[in-house]
This record gives sequence, C-alpha cells and structure tokens, in this order.
Amino acid sequence: MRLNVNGTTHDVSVPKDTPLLWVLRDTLKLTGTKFGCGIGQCGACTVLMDSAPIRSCSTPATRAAGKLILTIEGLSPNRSHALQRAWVAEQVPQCGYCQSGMLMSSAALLLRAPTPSDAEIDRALSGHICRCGTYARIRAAIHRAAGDTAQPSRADAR
Amino acid sequence: MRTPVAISRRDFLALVPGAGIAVAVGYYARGSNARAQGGDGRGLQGQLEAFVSVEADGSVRVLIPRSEIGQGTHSGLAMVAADGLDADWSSVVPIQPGFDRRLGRQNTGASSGIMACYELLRHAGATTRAMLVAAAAQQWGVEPGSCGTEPGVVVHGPSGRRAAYGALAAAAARLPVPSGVPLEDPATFRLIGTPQLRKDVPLKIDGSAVFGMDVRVPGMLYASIVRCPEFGGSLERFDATRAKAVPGVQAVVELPRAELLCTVGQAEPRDMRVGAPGHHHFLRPGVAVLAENTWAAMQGRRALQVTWKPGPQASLSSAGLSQQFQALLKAPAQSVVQDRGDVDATFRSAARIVQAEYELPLLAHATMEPQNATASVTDDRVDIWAPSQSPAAIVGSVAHVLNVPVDKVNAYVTFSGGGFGRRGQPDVVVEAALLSKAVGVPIKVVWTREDDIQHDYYRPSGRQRVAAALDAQGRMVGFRQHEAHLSMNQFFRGPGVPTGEISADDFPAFAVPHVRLESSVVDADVRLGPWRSVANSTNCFVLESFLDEVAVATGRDPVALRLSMLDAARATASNEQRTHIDRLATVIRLVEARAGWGTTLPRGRARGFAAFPLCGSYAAQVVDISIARSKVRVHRVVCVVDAGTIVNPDSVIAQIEGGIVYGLSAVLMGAITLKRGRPEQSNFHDYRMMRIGDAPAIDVHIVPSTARPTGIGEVSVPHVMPAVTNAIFALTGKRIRSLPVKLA
Repeated sequence: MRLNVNGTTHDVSVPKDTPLLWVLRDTLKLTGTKFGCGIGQCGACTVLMDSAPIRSCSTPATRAAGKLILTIEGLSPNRSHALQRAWVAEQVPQCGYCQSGMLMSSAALLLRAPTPSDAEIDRALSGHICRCGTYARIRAAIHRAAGDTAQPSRADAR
Repeated sequence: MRTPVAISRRDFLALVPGAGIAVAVGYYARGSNARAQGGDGRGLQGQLEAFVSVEADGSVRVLIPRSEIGQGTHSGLAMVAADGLDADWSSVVPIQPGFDRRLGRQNTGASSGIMACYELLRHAGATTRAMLVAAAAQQWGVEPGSCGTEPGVVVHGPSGRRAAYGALAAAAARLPVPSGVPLEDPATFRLIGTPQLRKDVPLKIDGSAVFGMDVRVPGMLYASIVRCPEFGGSLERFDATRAKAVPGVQAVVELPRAELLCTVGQAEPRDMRVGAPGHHHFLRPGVAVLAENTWAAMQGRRALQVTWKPGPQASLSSAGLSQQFQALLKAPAQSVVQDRGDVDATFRSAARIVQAEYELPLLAHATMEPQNATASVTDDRVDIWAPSQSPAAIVGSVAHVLNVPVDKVNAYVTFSGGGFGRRGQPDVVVEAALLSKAVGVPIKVVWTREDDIQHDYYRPSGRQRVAAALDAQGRMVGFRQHEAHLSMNQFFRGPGVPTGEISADDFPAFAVPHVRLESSVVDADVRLGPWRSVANSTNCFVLESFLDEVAVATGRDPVALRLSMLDAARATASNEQRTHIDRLATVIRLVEARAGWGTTLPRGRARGFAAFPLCGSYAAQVVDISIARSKVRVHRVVCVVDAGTIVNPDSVIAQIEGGIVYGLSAVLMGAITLKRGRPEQSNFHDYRMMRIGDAPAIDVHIVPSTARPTGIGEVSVPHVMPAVTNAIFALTGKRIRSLPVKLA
C-alpha cells in the first residue's frame, strides 16, 4: 500500500491487519509515535489523518492509504510549531512518553478551535492519559499557543 | 574525604561511550565510595569518578549517575555542577552513563537523586572551575586569586583580560587537580534555586527522545511473551504451529527457568542476593514468539496455544486475602515492630479509646511506557538497553542467569516513560537476555499493557488496626498500630526478615509516650515492589485518616489537633526532634493559611487535610471537593512542601503536581483485585486513571530553606488520599476506610 506520511510517500508491504502504529514505528522507523495500551484508551499513539486525530494502534494501516498522515516528526521542521514552543515555555513534559500524542491531538484541536476553552481542551484530550500528571500545564500551553495568554514562560517567572 | 586524582583524556573517554570530545578536563576523586562498593582493586587505580568535562567548543558535559524518569534529575544535577563551575546553562549537556561502578551508586529511587549527588557535583563543578582559573592565571602571568569568572569565562579584573572556558580546557587538563577547593556560599548561587529550562524537554516534544521502546539494534528480533496468568502456575504444554504460520514470526522459544535476584536497594551487582536459604523468586514461566517486527510478534503470541498447570494459588483472591488480614488482626500479632512504655496499662486506664481499621488494595505502577528491554548476548559480551532505575540490578541479574562475570555485562540506560519504582526490577531484562542467548541474535522484549498490568510488582495490600488511648483532657497518651499485610520485604528476602512496614518515626507514634507497633503477614506468592512513595502510601492514609477520626471524636479541628500534639511533643523533644517537629508544624500552618482552612466554602463543597513527612521532606495538603452522582470531584489541592535547598523550583512544582495526580488516580480509582489466582484488571478500561477533565487546580508553595536538599519525587503522592476521604467525611458524614473510594 502507499502511505503519505509527513509529506513523503512510502510504498509498504505489510499484512492487512497491521495497525498504522506499527507501520510507522517498525517499518518507517518513525518512533516518535508511541505504544501505550493497544486498545485506544491512552492516546499515546495519536497521529493526524487528514487533520483529524486517530488512534493509530487501533487503525489498520490500509485505512490510511491515500490520506495525509501527520506524526509528531512532521509537526514542524525544528520544534517551531506554536504548540512545541508553548510546551517548552510551560515545561510541560516530565517523562515525555504521552506527549507526542498530546501534541498531535492539541494540534488538531487548534485547527478547528483556534482559541479553545478549558472545556473544549478537556473534551479534545479526554482520550489521553498522562501518568506524570502534566494536565494543568498542557492546558496552559494550549492557551499560550492559541495566543490568548501573555504570561512569561516558567523560566522567566522567578 | 575525597582525594582528587588527575585523569587522562583516555580514561575520561572510556567512561563516556561514544564521546567524541576534543579535550577534557575532568575532576576525579578517589571516592569514599570505595568501601561501600567493595572494590576488588582491579581496573584503574583507586576509584575514579569523572563528572564534569569542558570541551574545546565550550560545551560542558556532566555525567549524571541517575536515570531520567521524568523527575527532572538530569537537568537538576547538571545545574548543580554548572553552578559550581560557573558555566552558562546553555552550554551544559547532561549525559547518561551506562553502568560503571567507578561512578558510585546509580540507583534511582527513594526520591534521593538530588540529595545523594548534591555535594559530589558541587565539588566536581567547583574543582573544574579552579583548574580553569589556574590555567588562565598561568597564561596571563597573574595570581589566580586576582581572577574571577563570569558564566563560561575566566576574567582578570585588574587588566580586563578574558578567556572562554573552551579555550582554556586543553591547558587546564595538564594541571594537577587541586584538593579542598572551597564550595561557593549558597547566597551566591546563580543557577541553583532558579527555574532553568530542562534539557530533555526539547527532545520530548518532537519525538526524538529515545525511550527503551525505541531502541533499535542491527539484526534485532522482537519478542512478545505469553506468561502464566495465574500466580504460581506453570507451563504444561504449548503448540506453536499456528504461531509460526504468522508472517514475520521467526521462532517460538520457551523461557528457561531462571532465578531473579533480590535487587531492592542494591547498588553493587555482587551484593545482590538470592534471598534466604530455600527462598527463591523465579521468572514467571512463559513462551516467547520472536518475529521481525512488533506486530508479528504480538500476533504470533495470540496464535500460540498454551496450556497452563494450576499451582498452589489457584484460588488466591483479594476477598480471601482480606479475610486473612481481618483474622490476623483479631489474633495476637506475629511480630513487634516497636514497644515503648506501657501500652497495656495506658489503654486499661484510658478515659477514652478511639479505634479504627483501614484496608488498602494492591496497586499497579502503570508506567506510560510498557515494560521492555533489549539484549544482545554474544560469546564476548552482553549489552542490555533498558529504561532502568537500576543499572546495577541489570548487570547483577543478567550475569547471574547467564552465568557470566559481571564485568562482561554492559547496561545502558534510556529515557524511561515513567518509573514509579517499577524499573528497578530486572525481570524484563532477564527475559531479553535469556532469549538472546537462546537464539543468538539481539532481542527486544516488548510487553503489552495487559502484560504490564498483570505481571507487575504491586504496591502491597493490607489492613491496619489503629487505636488511641486518650486521657481525661483528650490528649493521646497511648497508640497502637497493627498491620496485617503482604510484606514486600518478605517477598524479596524470604521468611525470617522484619516484615513491619510501619514506623515509630511516623506521626503520631513519635509524639506519644506509650506506643506499640506490630506486624502480621500473609504469605502469598504475589509479586510486590516499591510503588511511588512505597509504605508511605499506605501509612499516610491510615494515620492521617485516623487522626481525623480522633479530631472528630473529640470535637476538635483536625489541623488544630495536629498542631497541639506537635506542640506538646516539642516540650520533651531532643534538638533534632524539635527541628523535625517545627518543620512539620510550619508546613501545616502554611497550608492552613494558604488553603483558607476554616473559611466558608460554597454549599456542597468541603475540605480535607493531611500532613506527613517523607523522604526527608515535609508536606501538607488541603483538598477541596464536591460530590455529584456518587462521584468525587476534586476542585483544588493546595500543597505546602519543605524540601530543604531547592535546585530547580519549577521541577519541584511539576513533581508535586504530578504526584498529586498520581495519588488521586489511586484514591479514586485504583485497585488491582485478584480472583482465581490472577488479577482481574488488564488495561486502562478497567484499571482507570485520572484524565485531564478530572485534574484539579493545584497550588504549590515551597518553603524557602537552606537545609540540605531532601526528596521530592514521591513526596506529594500519599497526602491526597486521606485528604480526599477526610473531605468526604466533612461533606457527607460518611467515613471511608478502604480504597478506592466507592460512594454508590
């Protein structure tokens, strides 16, 4: 099958039932998308398919054929996406394992709701789990990326 | 007392695998760790510790003898060294070494990273700075005393001459390493105490951070293992026909029987024990499917047909354990943990007795990254990559099962997608090592989430009976605590070891004259392990719930009760004890003020309080909750923490926030229940977690302090549990004595 991932076309040959997650990680060697639960409960595997978030652990790769897949590696060339800059300013990640998924869902959210409310954020990220408990900082970082806060970064706050 | 020894560039490079550095200035010390490590005299002269190097391009590499599991220790410890060195933070690169006994203890746990390495890295930074200054002074023909530094630059005040550290590094490397370089006055800290940006964060926002799951070794096969689902069961037979037919599957291998060593707390591979005579802890029986990729391995494993033989625990259940705990509490205790004064007489003559029993379940760690390990075993060497909290445990355990010298085993530590105490167990690396040995290629073992939940080393379950004897004035004069539980200590070390995981150092025991603490255990083959905050997670719930009950029973405010008990204890306390009491009382008073304790809340809301010292630090929390449709909603948590000298206040706040959410998942949702010898839960649909919509607003206040740095990582986890149940009582009059909270 032919997959378009982060703007590059790949011809891959895998068993029909292979989830997109494992094509990304093992076939295409894009390990930024993570395996957390395998049943779509934790959100760590989230990528965008035609700008909508999907759980790649539970999506057969065949369903991605002909669509535009965006993974964390494709979010920006050099950590320059507003969300990535906000994630750094708010020092969001702790262990970091859930954050690729969080960022991709957040990116999808901002595409359809450029200045989301807390309730909209909670709804958009309700499928995600962070065991390090970074939720409050994620909310703050989304608001920051949406441009609706003028707070100094955590490194400036003394 | 450390005696610095000059290091050659070659030796420094040997400690940093893959280092391509031009020139190094290293600070090495014949460490006081030599005795603790039981060094055998082989290898480089004495014990070498090389922690700081400056390169020609000015970058500063700091070896961090701890794992980065999300707690920010890599950047924190690098800040400590950089402050002593007076380096610009932008030039600093923390480096994760593999296992190397010359670096001393590398275990990550007990919230001790900053505490244990603080002085060491201050010295390393300061000594390297002194050498750079000496090199500049020599070049300029001036007295070193007339030179100072600005970040990354040596400056000669009188002449205004300047030289960057990078330009001086080569010359400095040729100088003798000075001893006794004075440490800077904490009042002049430039980095320590400031919220510098963490170095690992950029890697964690673009997918480039390498976790254990992301390791790739040429020629590697992926392994998915089906393990005996029943604790204590064994493999009867299996049929691999269908598994081998799955495209990509290369082999199906039965796991050999292998002994796991007692690794809790051990820092030196040679010190790891097999446990008491006759006591063994074996790898869980399993069958591995090896394949070209992860999905094929998982599909192959699903296609395996396996028959398991039930063992002696086929009927093990949480309900059964609970009955056993209750029976043990009705009988005389098996062992005494502490007996002070005359408890029996005190209780006989008490004006009033308050008593309660509390029960706590097994809990799983549920790290976001499921367990995994990669092993390459050849005739010459063994290489292991894992998200580990104990490289020494890897080396000791793998050397043991493969029957090779420990010096042949190399352990490399990756980023860990959460640790919480799970990653000190070497079961996963042993699986990978055994499989690699069996088939002769590198193997990556990947656990599913079901494997992770069902084959965890759980936070032990148990039941505690607590009683207080009050005099006519309502003062607590006697205290009894009896825990009936699964003992982690006994699990690892076998019978005949102390099993009590309660302590007379906890409050209120330390403040009461007549105290008896007792322990009884149920002997069951359940894997137990340190879970973030360990025994504090159970003891804080029990003790802080109980003190709330005493307060209610005697008509006193819970906060006022704690403060009056501490005040009374202070009168007869030693100096050291008095400091301990004062620091605890301070965080209580501060949280009382900051949370508005005692002020009116809107209808349908209530507050709960808990205070508890742990990991050398002091913390108190107030939560503010409401209940709707039998579900608790936590609106706000205020936490005051005193952890001594703070390296990075933002990292501290992040850890406190995270620990609170971790504790809330446990108190509101968490239980691993056993039935027919196995866990009933398997994934996040039935072992549920706090999500973003559940998360409260969290207010953290750090008490300014110049005391030595103490722990943070686990410190905020326990308090939120009794604080929530105390708030539930305040709101509803219903006392919750077993977790997780069930209101319906």
